[in-house]
Amino acid sequence: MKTDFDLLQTVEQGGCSAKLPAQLLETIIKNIPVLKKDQLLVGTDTHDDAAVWKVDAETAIISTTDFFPPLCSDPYEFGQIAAANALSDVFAMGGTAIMALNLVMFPSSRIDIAVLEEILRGGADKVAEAGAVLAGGHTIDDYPPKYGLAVTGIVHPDRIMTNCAAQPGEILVLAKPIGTGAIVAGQRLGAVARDDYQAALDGMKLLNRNGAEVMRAHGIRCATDITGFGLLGHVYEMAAGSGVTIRIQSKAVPLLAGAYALVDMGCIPGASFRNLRYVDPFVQFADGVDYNLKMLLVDAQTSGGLLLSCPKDLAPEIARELQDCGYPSAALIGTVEKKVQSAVIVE
Amino acid sequence: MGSIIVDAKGELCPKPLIMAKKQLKETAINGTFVILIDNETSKENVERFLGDNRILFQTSREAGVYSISVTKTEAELSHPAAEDYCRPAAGPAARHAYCFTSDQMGTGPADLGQILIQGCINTIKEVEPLPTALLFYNSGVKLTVDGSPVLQTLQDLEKSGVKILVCGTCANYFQIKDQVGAGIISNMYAILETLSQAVHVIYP
Repeated sequence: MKTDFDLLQTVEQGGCSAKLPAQLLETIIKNIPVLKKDQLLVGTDTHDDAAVWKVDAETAIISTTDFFPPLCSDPYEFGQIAAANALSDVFAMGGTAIMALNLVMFPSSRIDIAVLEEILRGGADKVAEAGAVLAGGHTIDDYPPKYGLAVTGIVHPDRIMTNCAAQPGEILVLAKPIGTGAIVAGQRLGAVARDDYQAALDGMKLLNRNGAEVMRAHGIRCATDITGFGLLGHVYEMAAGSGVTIRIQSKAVPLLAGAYALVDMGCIPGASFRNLRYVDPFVQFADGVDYNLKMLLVDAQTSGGLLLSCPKDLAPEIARELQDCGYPSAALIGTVEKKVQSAVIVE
Repeated sequence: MGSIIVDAKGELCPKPLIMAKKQLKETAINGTFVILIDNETSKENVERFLGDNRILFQTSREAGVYSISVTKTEAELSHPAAEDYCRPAAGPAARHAYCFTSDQMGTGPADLGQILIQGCINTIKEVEPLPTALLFYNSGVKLTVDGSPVLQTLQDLEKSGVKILVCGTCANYFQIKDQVGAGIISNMYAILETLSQAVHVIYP
């Protein structure tokens, strides 16, 4: 069923921009006791994309969830993006998605239920495309609407890709361009060209599944996906977790068309400032780094690309394979170095 | 001189910043204008933007509306500051800060003072909640260098999210800037800002 309802009118900030600030979360999470279990291979302490539980020598389960309020007008596209974003955490761990559950908050008395049907159809299509099964869900009456998934995946315990295994000498490859936060904010102000907006939406709908297959084929051990904390937030977590310093070449980072011009006119979403406050103590910006690029490096991404760390000689080949399988902007964006004072250096 | 007023009341992020930036482009060097903003987040973000770009401003508040008076100077846009102009969000995140102004604790024999300061720093991590920041200035900066008996503790605290600021002028004075092994080399602006935002400041 088609509908004309504009989901964007229900929210001030949508997508991953609606995340709680990382530093606020850290202050309370560390007061909550965590039960340690040997089978829990990846837990909360490294801010990784998903939890991983070892079942036996051959199999580990990946468990993750993500949901958020609308970031685009069309309900079907919103469903696709929210699902691609939730599924991405499984791919970022190097896993295969097997099963997903819908998480739905929807105000049935305020918005036509046909809108929800479209959201769920978008989600179901992405889950199917990911090769997983949609097996149920949970629905709460709430405004504004929110949608996402709880996803289960599997991975061989020896082939988990964490965000804390980067080795000095390696190269960072980013699969998708950044700038979704600025583009979504700019769209609300009517400041984005139609093609640029559609390209951003298409990028957010794009599954990280093919990228995960490239990573698996090359035995990558360290990867994450870029979401609400922005590129630098996730790079910082990778550097801190790995005990290394990561040097990012700001000019090498691929940008969505139109994103730079938006930031240059001052269209910098509040989430960017929040992310900058989070990473600021750990990032050294070299003199002369373009201010607009700096603010794009902290732009909150929704359903962003895979960021992987790989041996130097493999990096060009991996980038090329990513370009050939659906991520034409994939690029080498930085280097992993021995730990010096700052966890991240931006040049 | 009649001020130019940019009225961003009722506007949400990032609109006030877009309006401010547009006015900034249209203003001549040494020209001034005033931005009116009625929500805290937009005010903080506009201030952060101005601070990052080294643009002079002053904020006042009346009847729930912030007036940010901006003076356009020669400052080039697009030159970010390496220093920490961070203005952390108000709320539960702001806690106490420790100030280490010496490499000893208290006045008395130097060796006793050094034993005490080591004990003090090593104990900080045992006391919940952790502080927001540790600030090191004057001879206090010597505690942050390679070979310092508390370096490991400082690095651990840093990993736990405690901000460690080391006075750059002081590190230069003692010629140990390249030996600083924890925290970030910082300036008076960042140190004063961190102090002014702390709920309590403790001088051991």
